[in-house]
Amino acid sequence: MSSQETKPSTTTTMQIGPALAGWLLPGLGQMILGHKKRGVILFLAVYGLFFSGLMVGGIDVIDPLQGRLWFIGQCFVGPPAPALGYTHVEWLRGEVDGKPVYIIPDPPEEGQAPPKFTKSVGRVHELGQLYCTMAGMLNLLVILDALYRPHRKRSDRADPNGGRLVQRVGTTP
Amino acid sequence: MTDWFFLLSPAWRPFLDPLPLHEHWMWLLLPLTLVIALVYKTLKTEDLSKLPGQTLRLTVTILVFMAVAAGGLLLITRWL
Repeated sequence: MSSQETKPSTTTTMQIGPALAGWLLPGLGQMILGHKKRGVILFLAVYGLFFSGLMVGGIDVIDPLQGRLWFIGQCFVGPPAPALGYTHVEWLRGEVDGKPVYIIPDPPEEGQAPPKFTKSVGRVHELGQLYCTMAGMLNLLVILDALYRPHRKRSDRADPNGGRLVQRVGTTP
Repeated sequence: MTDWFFLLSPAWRPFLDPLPLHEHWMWLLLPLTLVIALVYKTLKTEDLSKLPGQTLRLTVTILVFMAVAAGGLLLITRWL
């Protein structure tokens, strides 16, 4: 190896704060660590995918009752997923003969007020659910990245390595 | 044919009602693939100026492999 070749440092320190911030708002962990542009891109990508999924399938794609495993994946996207899941379940809650049950709304007949939401079905439901869950899974990657990504110092900002810790190896005597 | 005017109708409530895209669901895989590639490359690429090119390359790679996998599965289910 020449003296100019570098390899990434093997130093690993877990940064819990930026990782938690990454759950609260995708990309916030990277922004705290000084990687602002990277953080903004991640925020736009993760939330863009999540809210696109909601747009495609409606709130029905966040379903803690019938899609529990999907919902667990969606929760990695941050507070909006559990909040929407709770709202969805509250809207389904009903009562039959005095017993609490979950009621899926029927399409309204003429003259009736529309239900709080429309149940999505088929491919549209699957794709909406997939979008939201993929957003959660991608944010898990973003959180894990924030857990180990080195802090970018002011002096690193002009660095072509983007602030990654590097160590020079193979120095000639 | 999807009635795109549905989006302008007051009957459709964003985030509450699903979009009528049942016939065009496959097109929804394109933005999904693009975002997966974008997030992955944003985390892995050191120099963000190379991000658009690398993202595009990874997106095309994923799409090609998905098409190959779909073709393979089609062959298996139809002729084997």
